[in-house]
Amino acid sequence: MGKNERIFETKLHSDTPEMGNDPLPVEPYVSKVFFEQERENIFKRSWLEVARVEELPNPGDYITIDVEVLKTSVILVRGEDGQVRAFHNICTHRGNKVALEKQGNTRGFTCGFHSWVFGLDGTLEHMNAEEYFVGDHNKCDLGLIPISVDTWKGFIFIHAMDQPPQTLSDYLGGMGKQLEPFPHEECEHIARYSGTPRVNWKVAIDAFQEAFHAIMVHRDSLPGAAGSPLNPGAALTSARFYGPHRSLSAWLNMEYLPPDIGMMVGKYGPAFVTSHEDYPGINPDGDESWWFDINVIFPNFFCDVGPGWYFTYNFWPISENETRWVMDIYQIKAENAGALLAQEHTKVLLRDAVLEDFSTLEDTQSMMESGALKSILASDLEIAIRHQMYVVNQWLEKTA
Amino acid sequence: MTTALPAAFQQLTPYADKWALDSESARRETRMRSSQEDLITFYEAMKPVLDDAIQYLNTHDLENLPKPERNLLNTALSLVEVSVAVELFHNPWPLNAWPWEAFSVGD
Repeated sequence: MGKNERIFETKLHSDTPEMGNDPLPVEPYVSKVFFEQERENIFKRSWLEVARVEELPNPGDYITIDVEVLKTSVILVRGEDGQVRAFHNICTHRGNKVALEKQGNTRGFTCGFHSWVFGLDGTLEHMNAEEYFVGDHNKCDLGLIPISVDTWKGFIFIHAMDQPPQTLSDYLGGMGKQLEPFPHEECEHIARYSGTPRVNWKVAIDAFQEAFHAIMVHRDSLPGAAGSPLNPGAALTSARFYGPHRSLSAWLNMEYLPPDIGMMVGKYGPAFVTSHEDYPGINPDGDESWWFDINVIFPNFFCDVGPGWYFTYNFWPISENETRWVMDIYQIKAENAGALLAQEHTKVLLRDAVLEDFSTLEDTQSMMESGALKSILASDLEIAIRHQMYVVNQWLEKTA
Repeated sequence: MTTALPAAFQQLTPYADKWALDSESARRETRMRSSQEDLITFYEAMKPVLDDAIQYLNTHDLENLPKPERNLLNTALSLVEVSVAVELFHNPWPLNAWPWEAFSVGD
């Protein structure tokens, strides 16, 4: 049986690593042991995106974030000096959490156990009953325990190491440079969705970093958008690899007709399915039939961009087969009702399309756990999946 | 209950009574719990006047919409919410998808 000729090829840059064509083993998607290695060698050694600066506009603003994979709760807080700091959410007295709310504005953090008080910069300001603590300790060393933090274009990242081996900017490298012109700071947050499927974090990520699936999975929400006789496999138009990160440009069938209401509101503002104009920080190779860029920042953060909008995913591993997923959508501020309706169409369509993306995750995970299949196949349409596994293995070997 | 609407859009009042909802989660919840027939009826009633409604609303300051205009906008936002069920899924919720209830929507 002969193979068909390939009609459309993804443009790959010369710096594409040599990753081979072997099947990918199933073990890394189901193994508890492998997951523990990922926790130690990847998540405790990489910059992890946790928030945007707009979530903390004023001194005293704070948010708390559960970072299950680091087994901690993180406080992000803006100090009187305007600086954003990160701390473990733990009282240095006997280990209780000091911040119980998801967010707020405060002058400090008072532990609900014995009322020790910590300032916005973490300093232990009031050590209740200090005179009774007679052991060898120094109040100056009893501040909240800091976590390394850095920001890039308004995105706040944390790092589990006290002395991260690279600055955030160096870590992001070419990926950061590609996205640099995009006006993230001019966009406003318009939606947050979340869910916790029973799935390995890499299975979940892999469902969002190729377009091949769109032909089948999005046959209802985006019929004919991702593939056509010109590109029957919905191949990416181009892909770029930046160390552990990657940027993938999705191809759009220019014959695709968005649904009626999407077309009607799309006249009044940027929307996911109707806007194709030039914009800074998108379509880096100037591809024709370009749809949007999927930008994957290793290990677990996506920043996908289009003209006038971007959306992010955070995939937070909880265990080898549970992942907390959060999606945030941002757009240039709507100045009138028409633009707001265009935004709404983007939200609703993306939200329901992502529900379709989730349709395969738990079935894939549970069947991988059956042990029936020892390896999976990744085609050239799915080069990003191969790259993710390639990088995961690199990091596990590098630091083993 | 009668929902106030701008004079030119009074004919939408029966729909606004159900659909003038001011959050995405409320609009989504109402869509998912409606029959497909109800969604189609609303869609077909409002779609022909959507463009007029947008042009009318665009003459107002989005930050300071009077109540009738706000109700019209919220009803139009519901039309966008409902449109994907009518145009794409032919069912209130996506069928080949994760259960919509498992997905949390923050407003």
